[in-house]
Amino acid sequence: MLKNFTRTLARATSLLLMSAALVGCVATTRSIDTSSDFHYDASYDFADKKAIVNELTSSLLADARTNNFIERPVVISYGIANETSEHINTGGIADDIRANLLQSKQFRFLNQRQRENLVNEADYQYAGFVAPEERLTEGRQLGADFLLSGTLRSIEKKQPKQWRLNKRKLIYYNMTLEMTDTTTGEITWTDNVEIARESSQPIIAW
Amino acid sequence: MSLRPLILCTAALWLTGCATSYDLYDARAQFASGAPVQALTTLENADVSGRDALLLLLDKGAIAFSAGQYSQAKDALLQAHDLIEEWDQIRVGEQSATLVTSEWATRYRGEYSEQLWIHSYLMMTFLMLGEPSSAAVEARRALARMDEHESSLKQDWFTRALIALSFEAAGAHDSAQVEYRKLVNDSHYNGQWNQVIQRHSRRIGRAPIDGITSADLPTPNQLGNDEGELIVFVQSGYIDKKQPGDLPIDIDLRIAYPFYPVQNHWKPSLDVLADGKRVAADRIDTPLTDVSKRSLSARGTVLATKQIARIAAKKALVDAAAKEDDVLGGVVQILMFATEQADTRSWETLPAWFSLIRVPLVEGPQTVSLRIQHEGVDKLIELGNFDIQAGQLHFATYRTTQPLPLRDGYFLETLTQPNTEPFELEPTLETLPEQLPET
Repeated sequence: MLKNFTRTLARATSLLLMSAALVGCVATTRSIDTSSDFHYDASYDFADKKAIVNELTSSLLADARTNNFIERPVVISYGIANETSEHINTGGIADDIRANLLQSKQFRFLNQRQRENLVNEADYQYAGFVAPEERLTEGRQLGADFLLSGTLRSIEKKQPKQWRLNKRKLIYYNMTLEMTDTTTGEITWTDNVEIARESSQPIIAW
Repeated sequence: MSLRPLILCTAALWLTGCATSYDLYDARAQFASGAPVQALTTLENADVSGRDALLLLLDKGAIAFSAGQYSQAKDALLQAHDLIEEWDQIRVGEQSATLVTSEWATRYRGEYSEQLWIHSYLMMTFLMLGEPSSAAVEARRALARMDEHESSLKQDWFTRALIALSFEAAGAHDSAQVEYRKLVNDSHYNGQWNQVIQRHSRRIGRAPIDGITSADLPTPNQLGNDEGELIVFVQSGYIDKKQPGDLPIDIDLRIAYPFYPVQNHWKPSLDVLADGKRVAADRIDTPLTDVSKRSLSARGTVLATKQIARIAAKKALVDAAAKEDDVLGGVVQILMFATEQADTRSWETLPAWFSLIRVPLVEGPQTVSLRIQHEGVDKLIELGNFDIQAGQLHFATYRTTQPLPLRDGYFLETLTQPNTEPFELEPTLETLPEQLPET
């Protein structure tokens, strides 16, 4: 009787362990709230991008509302330089900042990336394929009042080699954004966001 | 009789494997016989042990770069970097396996030099792709790697010059100046590279660096207002392979260790010709085997400590088996002796020399050729027609190789007609506009 019970218990335990192991191996997918502060490690991720974009656009819009800018100035974005040790697509930051500023209706933007295509389109229209009354009018593009540019920098420090069980890494990011008056060359607005994060990884693993 | 020692030994033999995956051999042979595209196809379909996953990516990166497949090279080398970061942990299971087998049981993480050259290739790749800011990212990663293993890597002059060049191309001129200055101070390239610094200073409107007088500047290499610069990355020959060394300790005990053979590699003679005329150039080189030797030596203490632990563990295992049964003890002893193999894995598709040549050229169309004399090869290679723009950097790459020696009899079986002639890969060229100065 006791022997049977022990055998059944052993089988049940084995089954349970196997099920647990199998469940552990199942691939899963879940959606993450993009407004959450979610990080796998210390390196740059979408939550950082969101924080940088929100903070800098809020600062710029607040400044524009006070008195520093003319009515709906025309801005051209010259992108954000990546001076970090990671391959970060800073184009995403620039695009999001531009989107936020456009949605505020306080700024107008020139499409710097499409300039070559605009020239090509004008050339095409004037090459005789398009009826004269349908052609775009040349010399009517807007001139930029301000240049928008920025730099993302990082400093990474690793814990020095010594007897320890965990390896710690500290990363500091600094993103500076600035508006330059195209007439005077003066920097009329600038602000920066700082993010510092520490990660720890065990040195020994199974 | 307990079977435990026998099982352990069998597992030991299985784990050891003691050979680089055959697909890697195949691909390396194809590359060496002048078929880089075929080599890449072999690597794409390769069935490689997880322990050699890094070698697969390294070979893929080097071959793709040499064949001008820059996007493919970029993907493979970035993955290689990620893998090294991911594997930066001591795995208890893996280390335990090495105690009863050899270092072949571990995942190959690359020598420090090889880890650095991932970034060297990536810098060149991004410059050829016209992405200087990404090249600067790799320059920062390379600097971090150099800081970590300074004594082994500081004499990689090529990579140091490449770091400075990547900063310069990305418009990070302050960082470029710092790296150029460090390079000149640390190396014997003073006279020649002073000119590079002066050209860079002039280009960005800075005063010449202190301590460098006009007497240091031979006039032919100065960059005039109507000049641009062509930068040629040359890879010559093949890096030496690690060799297995044996040190008998006792009649039944030995230590197997990897080492680089002492071989002289003649520095390649490289001349750049513009429209058929030889032009003055500034050049910097790294003999890769020398840097790899230093990197292997730097790991010497760790390797020796592990070796002592392995001898003790194997001896204990043999004694335990012999206590149970004399025959079993003998079998285990033979197995332990057989599994003691030096880990000779390395990035074998690297060249023997990396050379960086900077050539100031007058603006306008120019046909540029490279005359290379190296290890029996004397060739004039047309790098291409360049429309040189004043103040701009233009890039070209070239790799010359000698066939890999046949080894282990394996190539003889797989390649019925190995090509023993030197081959030239297609040269590739790229023009990169100078970036905006850093803000």
